[in-house]
Amino acid sequence: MSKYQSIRKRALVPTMAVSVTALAVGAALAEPPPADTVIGNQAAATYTSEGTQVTVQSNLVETVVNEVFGLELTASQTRSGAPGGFAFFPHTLTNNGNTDDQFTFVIDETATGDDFTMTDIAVFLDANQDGVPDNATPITVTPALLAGDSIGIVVRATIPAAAGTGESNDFTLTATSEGSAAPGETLQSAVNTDTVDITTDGILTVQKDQSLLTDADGNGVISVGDTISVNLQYTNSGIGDATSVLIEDILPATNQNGDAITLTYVAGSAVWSDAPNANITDEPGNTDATNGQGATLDYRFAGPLTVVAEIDTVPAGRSASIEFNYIVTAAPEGGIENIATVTTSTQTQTPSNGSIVDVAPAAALTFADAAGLTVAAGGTDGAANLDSADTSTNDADGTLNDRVTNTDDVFAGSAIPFDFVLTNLGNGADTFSLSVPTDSFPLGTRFDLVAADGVTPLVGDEVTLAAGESVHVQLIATLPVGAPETASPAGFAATVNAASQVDPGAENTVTALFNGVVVVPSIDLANTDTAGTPTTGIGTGNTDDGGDPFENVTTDPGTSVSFPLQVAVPAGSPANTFELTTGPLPEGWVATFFGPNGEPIQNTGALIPTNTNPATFNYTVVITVPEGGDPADVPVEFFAKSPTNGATDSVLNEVTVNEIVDLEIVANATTQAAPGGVAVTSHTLTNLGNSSVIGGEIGLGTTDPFTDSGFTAAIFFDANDNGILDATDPVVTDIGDLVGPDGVAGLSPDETARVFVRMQVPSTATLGIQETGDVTLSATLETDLGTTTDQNLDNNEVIDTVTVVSGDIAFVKEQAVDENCDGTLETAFSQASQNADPGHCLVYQIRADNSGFSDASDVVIRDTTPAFTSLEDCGGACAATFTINGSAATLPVLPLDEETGLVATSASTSGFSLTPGQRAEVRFTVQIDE
Amino acid sequence: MKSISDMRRHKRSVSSNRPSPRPIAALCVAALLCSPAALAQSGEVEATLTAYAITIEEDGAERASPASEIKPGGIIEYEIDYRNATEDPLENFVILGDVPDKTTYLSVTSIEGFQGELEVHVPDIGWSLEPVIRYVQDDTGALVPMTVQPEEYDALRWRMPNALAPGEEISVSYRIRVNN
Repeated sequence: MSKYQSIRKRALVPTMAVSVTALAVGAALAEPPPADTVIGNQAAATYTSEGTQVTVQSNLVETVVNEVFGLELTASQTRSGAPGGFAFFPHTLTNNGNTDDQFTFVIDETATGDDFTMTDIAVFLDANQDGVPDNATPITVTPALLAGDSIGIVVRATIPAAAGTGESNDFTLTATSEGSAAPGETLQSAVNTDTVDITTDGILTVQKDQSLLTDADGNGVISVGDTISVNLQYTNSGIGDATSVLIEDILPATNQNGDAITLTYVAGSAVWSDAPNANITDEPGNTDATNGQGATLDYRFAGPLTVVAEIDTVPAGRSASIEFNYIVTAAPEGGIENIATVTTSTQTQTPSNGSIVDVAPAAALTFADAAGLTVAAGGTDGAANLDSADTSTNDADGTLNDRVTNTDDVFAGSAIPFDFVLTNLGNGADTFSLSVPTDSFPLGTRFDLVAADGVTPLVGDEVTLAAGESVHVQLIATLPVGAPETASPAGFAATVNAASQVDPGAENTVTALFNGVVVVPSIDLANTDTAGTPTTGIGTGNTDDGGDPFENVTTDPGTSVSFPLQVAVPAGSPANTFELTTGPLPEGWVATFFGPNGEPIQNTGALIPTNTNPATFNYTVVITVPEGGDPADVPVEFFAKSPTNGATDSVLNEVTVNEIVDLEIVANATTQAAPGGVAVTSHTLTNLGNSSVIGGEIGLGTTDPFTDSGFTAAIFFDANDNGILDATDPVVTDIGDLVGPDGVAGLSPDETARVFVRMQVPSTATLGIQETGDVTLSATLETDLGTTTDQNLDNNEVIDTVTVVSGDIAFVKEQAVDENCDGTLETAFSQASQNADPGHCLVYQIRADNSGFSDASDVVIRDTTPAFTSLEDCGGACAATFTINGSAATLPVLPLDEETGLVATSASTSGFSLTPGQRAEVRFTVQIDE
Repeated sequence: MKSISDMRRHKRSVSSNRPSPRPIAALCVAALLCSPAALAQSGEVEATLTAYAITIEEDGAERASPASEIKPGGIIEYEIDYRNATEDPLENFVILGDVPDKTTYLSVTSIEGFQGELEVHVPDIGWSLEPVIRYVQDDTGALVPMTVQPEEYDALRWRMPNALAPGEEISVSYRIRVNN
């Protein structure tokens, strides 16, 4: 059923006190749905979200119609009969259930009060409903009848010869459904009462029969345009003559369904069997013919629908017929029934049997850009068969050509509507199945068939229409969001088919043609000033400045820079959301997006322009350069892209990272040596900048040269990084001499190198003097980017101080790892770096050797626990020890200072003594904080 | 053949995702034409339609049971439930209820969750509030107003006056009779 063109309602035109004429409201009687009919329903809701209307459909619910049984039996009647003769009672039985059924017959002749008793009462089929049994075989049950079907039967009863004039008798005929009664219900049945009155007068009956005379369209069934022959056979089955016989037949104006029909009498078609060659006119008031017995016929066509035949006398036992023709001018499917009547001088108006001709269902339709008036030859609809008063609501081609053309330009992802008109030109209600068998739209296009409102879905893609009814339906072609742009016109076409369910062979197609252009929506991403006004990169596709960046911002490593940007969606564009991204960034770089109010964002949210105003969105991208970030001009590209339709734009900017040059050497050292001895100090060089330093002098005594010419010194590179000046460690005078195990000269960012200063004390040195000398890094350095100047000269120099002593104490500190903090070392003692995890223990060993030639007195060994560690004794397994030449010495309580973690062999300046060659050794253990 | 969705399903819940913006409004010829069955991308609007067969017990009490089957003349009550499971309010929310083929509308039985007015659809008139008036011509040619009976309705709709808030639920129920 068409959603909004329903014909299914009962009594669409309500009754009212005044006589009214309905205004263009068609109606059809409601009928029970056939058994097993599925009643489907599906709700829908629409709402607006972000400026777009959305439809949500519910689930489909289906209810199956159960079978019900019912019948109608017509009609109770009274017939005249003669003693010793037959009485015939024609009836019509209709299956009023909604499924196939059969019906049994029972005759009851037991009622009291009758004047006599009928015998041999039996039921016979009367398939053609002419009032005469089809054969001599009685039936007790009907053949199976489809829901709504009718069948004619005749009850024949024998009148006893002793029945007298004026006497009467009646009996009942009961028809009962064979359908299964539901629990608690009784079988459906219907009862008629047939009565016979005995007379010796003439008894005139009329049997009416209709047959197809001319099959105008040759389809073998009765349809509009065909000619029907009506035969009215009259018989006097009484004892006396029948006089003043008047047979009247009124052609019906409606069929059995109540639908209006038009039957057209064929003028001059009457034939009287008693004078077949007579010229029977349709005019009243004249004798048209006289038969061989002198009986006369006055035949007339009295008005638009009434045929009258007057015969002055029909003798007892005489039978003859009147025939005439009519044309089925207009009629929907359904039975055309009418009943003639006969009246005589002694007999009131007596009906004939009901004669029915069935107009067969005929499916026909148009599916086009306008309502159909007729079916087009060849199936292609056009102006010749379409109704220009009811056309498609959005056909841009302006021509009735069986094609709806939509020329609106649309964006990828848009829905394109096509409004069609479906017309049922069949002669009955029909359901049409709609489909889209072929199309040339882009792959992924979705097709929806909806009602004329453009929203409501057609359940099952079906439309039911009454005969002659038209309805608008729409095909909505929704393009995929990735549909590419097209040339103009796009030329996408879809064939939409409507097929009749009454006659699957009856179908018609219409074409949906999209001749607009598919465009990818535009978007503009531009740089702005701090006030948010676009400055550069304005315009879609304006992504760089002739290959160069639009904007450049310079910054140092470890800092951030900001780029204010704006996304603009032009007026008239669809609402959209854009994802905000950057192009690839160097490792460690971070881009963060902030909305106009400083809130972190990842996209623009919905931007909804109007037809006259664009929609804009300002945001800021903060680029953070990591510490140590390489000095370079780094291009940064910003993108705004729609995830739904691919609309995108970008701008190219640039971040320049400054070169940081800062070479550090630490730390000042103090040592001692005996005359003629050697002192070694250790220093660490670190590249605190962000580019590799590959050259630059490492000066010795540059600013604070040794004053005693007897002192000599040289700088060595701890090439094997073992913390000990080895014979293989090279003398260095330039940063370029620092060639590590990787073979790369110089120091890369964050890289460190250890150097030793080896100082030879002349044998003539005076005891107690102090000599100082500097190690200075040149302010002029060579980096990867060329010759440059160290930007921080405060950390380019260290001073070594050597005290000439008679007892020379040489200190060496080493470390080892005790992973389990159980006193067992997992690594050997070394001055080199070792790896340890939080929770591990580090064991420090400090040795003091008297390398001089006299006693050293008041020697105190002091150290501190490193940051993030605490002194540990491993439950006694790694308690601190202090030995002199291998013998345990007294150790003060440890630690001496909780705050500083001071560990010492004495709490005061009063220490122990070491004779030349003696060694003092302190060990203690710390645990790394977890 | 491109699929036109198969609707042959029996009672189940269907969800529609929250819509992503659809780039159509500016170029569509009419707003209603632009978004048929637009199924969205994230978040959900839950829609459930349930059918009950209504029968009268001997004591006169009504009994509702799943309407998987029914006889001609039987009464079906349709319950439509919507829930906004998105994070956004849904503006202009309108519920559409159908009066199926071969059935006749009886009445609305309940509305829960909002105070929207019922509008009804009559084939030759369109959508309107009740009572629906049709003008017919009497014998003198004068137009006479007549109230259209509910049995002529073939669709119903409810317009929600306010946005459907996140988490909000609404429910409407109405009855039809299977023709007999």
